[in-house]
Amino acid sequence: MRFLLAVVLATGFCLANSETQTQDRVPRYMERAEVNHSTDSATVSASDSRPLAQAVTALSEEYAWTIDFEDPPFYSKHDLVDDTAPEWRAAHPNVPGVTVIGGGGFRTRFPETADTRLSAAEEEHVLDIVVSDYNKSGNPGGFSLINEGNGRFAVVGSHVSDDSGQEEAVPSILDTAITVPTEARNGLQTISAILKALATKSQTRVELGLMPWNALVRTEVTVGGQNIPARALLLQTLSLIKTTLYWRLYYDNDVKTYAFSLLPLRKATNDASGKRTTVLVR
Amino acid sequence: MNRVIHFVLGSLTLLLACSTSHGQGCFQPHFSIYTSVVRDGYNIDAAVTMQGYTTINCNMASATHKVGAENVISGTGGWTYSGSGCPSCYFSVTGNNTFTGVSDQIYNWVWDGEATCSIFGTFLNSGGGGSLPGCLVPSTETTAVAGVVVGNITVTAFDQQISDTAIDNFDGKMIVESDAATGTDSCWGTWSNKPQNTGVTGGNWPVGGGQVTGEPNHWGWDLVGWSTDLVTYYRVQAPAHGKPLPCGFVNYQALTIQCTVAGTTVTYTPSAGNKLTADIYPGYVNNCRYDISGWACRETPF
Repeated sequence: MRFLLAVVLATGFCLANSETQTQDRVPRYMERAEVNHSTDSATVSASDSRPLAQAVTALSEEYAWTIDFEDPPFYSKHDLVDDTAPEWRAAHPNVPGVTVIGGGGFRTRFPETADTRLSAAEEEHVLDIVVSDYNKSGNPGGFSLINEGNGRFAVVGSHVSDDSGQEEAVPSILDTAITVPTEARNGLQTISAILKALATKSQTRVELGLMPWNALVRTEVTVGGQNIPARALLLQTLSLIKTTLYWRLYYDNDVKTYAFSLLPLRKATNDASGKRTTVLVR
Repeated sequence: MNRVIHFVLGSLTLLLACSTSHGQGCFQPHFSIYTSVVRDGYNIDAAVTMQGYTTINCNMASATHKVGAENVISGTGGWTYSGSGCPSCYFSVTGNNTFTGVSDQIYNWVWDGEATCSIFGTFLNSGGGGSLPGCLVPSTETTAVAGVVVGNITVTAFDQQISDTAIDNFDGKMIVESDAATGTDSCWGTWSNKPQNTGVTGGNWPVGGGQVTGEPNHWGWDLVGWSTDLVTYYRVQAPAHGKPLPCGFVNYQALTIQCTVAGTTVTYTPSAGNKLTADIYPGYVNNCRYDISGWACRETPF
């Protein structure tokens, strides 16, 4: 039922229907979420397998906000849809197929003032609205907002649907308390050590996704501690790296693995002709 | 040789295509003004080009047209004109202004373009302005493979060498990267466990420092590639989702070099940027860096 709702919402954005496509086994999504401004409010329109992540990225680029995003560990047919390529299926008839998160369309509106971009309180208020609206949208999962301090926020998966379609609370894997020896390492070694300790403690695979190699390898940090949430160690590490970075922790149930990606903060700008580009925020 | 670096400052500065009342609606001009700057060490060659044509809707058999480009830098320079020709002819004229910059100096640059009819006079005139910092800027950059990243052998380290015709010393200046254009990521799908990789990450390197200490006029390392985890992930997942191998990303890297004026930098890569690629094959990865004056690739079995 939830998936059906998401699909219905998605139809406003989709050009193709999954049942009639052979190339696209899931609805065709928007390339990126759009933020439209009116007199005293703004609207975010997203359409993606992870529509909230797409919306959050659009807000991050619109206002140069540092927002982390973490999937909950989706696993049931109520949150995931089949995405197996027909030719692959034919060649592997006895192997389970692959899936994609069954997100669709999502739209939210929030008040916008002159302070919206620069005020952490305004940012928190806006993100609260966005997350709350998402949780009522019928899209997969439930999320909550964490204020990580220093104007940084995390949108964290807190619920999934179980096999019967009921809401199931799930803890954030980054809240797992871990122990990492305190020592001087480069940024990449430190991130790797944190993820390795996290994987060991949580008994869940957590791998390296996209990494800003140059920024990490060339920065030496001293980070560590005993029984400290992984999130705190990651934040401590990032605070010592000159580039402003945010993370995306995405879960793929097909391989039962999280991938931790770090990306540089970008700000969207439009040139005189209206062409949109993004520039790195330094 | 001193034109090796060629980057365009607002490559198409102005597109002029308007329905005009000149000549009682008799003709419609379609002209563009382009500006470009070529640097080699302290030498700066700024060019202004005016080009285009006019659509003629009436009998102007006795008229001739010509176009001009104005290129003035800190009060020096002037107009360059084309020869006269038929009203509907295509015209192109370039005014060059070449000089040797001085560090810490900022040069005002004014450009203009005009089109003139022998009957109706000047029927189109438009231009702009900017500033050019005097700055020591390389005219060439080469790249070489320096190795791989420990723990992620699917990431390649590249070592760059910059130079100009005067063999100046660039050591100590900061090189900073940004996106020249949005890249592509052919591995990615909405099912992926990571966002798209379509941009560089904003690295910065001191020339002759860091991992290339002891190598004058070198900077680096510039690290390009997928993590080993992602290579393994995409090898298994991409084909099952209908994405054949090889797949990979392309990033377009713009590079600036620090001038001696605080906060002033100059972009020295071509407007298209350096192309950085990382492709995943069934048994290996291939990472490449296509630079101003050459390229290097590393094929790593994995």
